[in-house]
Amino acid sequence: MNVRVWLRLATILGSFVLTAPLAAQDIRPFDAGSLEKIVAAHKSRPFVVAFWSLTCPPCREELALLGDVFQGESARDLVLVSVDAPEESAAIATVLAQHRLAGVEAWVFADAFTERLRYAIDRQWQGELPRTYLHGADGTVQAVSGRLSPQKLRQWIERQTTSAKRS
Amino acid sequence: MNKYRTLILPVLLAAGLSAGAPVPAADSAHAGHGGGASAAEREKMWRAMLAKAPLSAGAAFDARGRLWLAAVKDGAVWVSHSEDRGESFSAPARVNAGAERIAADGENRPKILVTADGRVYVSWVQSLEQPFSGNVRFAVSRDDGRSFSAPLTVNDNRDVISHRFEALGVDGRGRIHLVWLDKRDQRGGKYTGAAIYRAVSSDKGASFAANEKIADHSCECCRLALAPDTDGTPVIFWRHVFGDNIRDHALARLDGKSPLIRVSRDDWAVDACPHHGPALSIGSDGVYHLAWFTGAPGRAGLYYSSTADRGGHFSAPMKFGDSEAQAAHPQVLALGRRVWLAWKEFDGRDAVVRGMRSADGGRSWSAPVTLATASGASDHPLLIADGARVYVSWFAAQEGYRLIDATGAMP
Repeated sequence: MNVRVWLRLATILGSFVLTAPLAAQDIRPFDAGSLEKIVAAHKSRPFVVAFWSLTCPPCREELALLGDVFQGESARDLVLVSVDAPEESAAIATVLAQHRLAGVEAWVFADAFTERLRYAIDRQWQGELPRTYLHGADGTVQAVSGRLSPQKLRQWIERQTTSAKRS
Repeated sequence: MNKYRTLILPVLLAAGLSAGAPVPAADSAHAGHGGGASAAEREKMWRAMLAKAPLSAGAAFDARGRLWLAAVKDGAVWVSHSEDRGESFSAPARVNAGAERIAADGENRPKILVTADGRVYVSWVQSLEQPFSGNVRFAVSRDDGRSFSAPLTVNDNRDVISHRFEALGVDGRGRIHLVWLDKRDQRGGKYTGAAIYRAVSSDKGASFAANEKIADHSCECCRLALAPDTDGTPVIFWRHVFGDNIRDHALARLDGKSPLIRVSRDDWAVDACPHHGPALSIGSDGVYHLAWFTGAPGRAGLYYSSTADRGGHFSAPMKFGDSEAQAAHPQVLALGRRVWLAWKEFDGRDAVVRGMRSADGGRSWSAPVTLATASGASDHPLLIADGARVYVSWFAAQEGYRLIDATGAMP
């Protein structure tokens, strides 16, 4: 795999729309209405929503991949939602920083009733982690259970980039 | 519902608070997942974690029909018992004197087991400062749960790595078995999943023998299930990693000679943490009853199967529960030929414990019934029996602790 091409594609993906610089890291409380707000705020371009936890080893591998890919302007097209608790925000911020994701839009489950949150997010999701949603520019959403492979992410980015060129 | 039942959790919590457990100042050995966080941040997190009252507790009946609970608060396991099926409880006794960060998160919870001769065995996982690390801890009470021995760390590998998701059992000779998921074989290299290790105590919990490996390559964050066979030999059931990444289930009889047996062929290839362990119960007729969750595309959901010949043959897996309603965290319990299943669903508003029962060893089943609901966060339900009747033991944030008579609801 040609990593340089792939990173360049990620940058192209990120440059669809330029908006204001990201604010410093704050971990926002995620409730049953949050996903709707996230989708509304990001739907003008392709974006990725990744659910992860401090307690999940494969999540760290996925964060490493996302930290590699979503740098620079493409960072705005990534949303990370930790399914831990708000009192773990310091640990969440530390782990994000370790994976070069300090500036990325980050949320944390703010309702211990996680079934209610998952019901609002995706009824097909049984809680396995990581769980990642690839939101295409055309509104299609791909759900991925388990660590997102670099190949899958690259293919998706290429597809988004191709369709962006066509339109 | 009797109002006293809803008071049990607050009572446990209040007892924990009034005991005034000393909190060690800036003890980095307990600081949790914040590798790289400042000392002040670690201290804050440590205090926040201690202040949490997790809903995940252990429950068991003793031979006299008393209900025992092991709950976590203020960095300690607290043990209490009820003589009246959960209507009222004894004052909780603190198990570990020094505060520890105790894993209580659905897949991890304190375990409690009371022997016929009156010993109270308690095990739990102490979380350490690195992510995913922990030690398996054990203590025994020889005075009917009033006081406990100083806790032992059971894993003889003391690296700050994962020794977690423990299961506790006693065999036909009274020996105590602790079985857990252990990352010692990873040693910084490529190692799929975790290994399963066991330690045995032949002196009623005064000490444990050297750890022995049971199997390589279990899934690393799904709790184990353990149940005694009819001859007392422990049998374990767990989510294994077959090949590179197939997270299906395996069974092993811990007699030192039986092989690992693959139970499920769901072919769930996923590099994920399902956080979703299986359940096992062995009837007095020697039939193993098994329940598990798979997320395999096209067949995601809960499944039940049984084997009458210790894993030689299995019944065709039966899907149960509503996978559109997050059917999750199955429990199975057999009393002779009668078998109960219980699991959790979400109906769009409430968490729901559902159950069904078989009168013929798992061949045919009643329609599912709702056993209890919770309007907020809740633990996984547990199925426990007092020898004659089966109950659901369930903690919920709003409703407190409830012991629900599953035999009455599904006669």
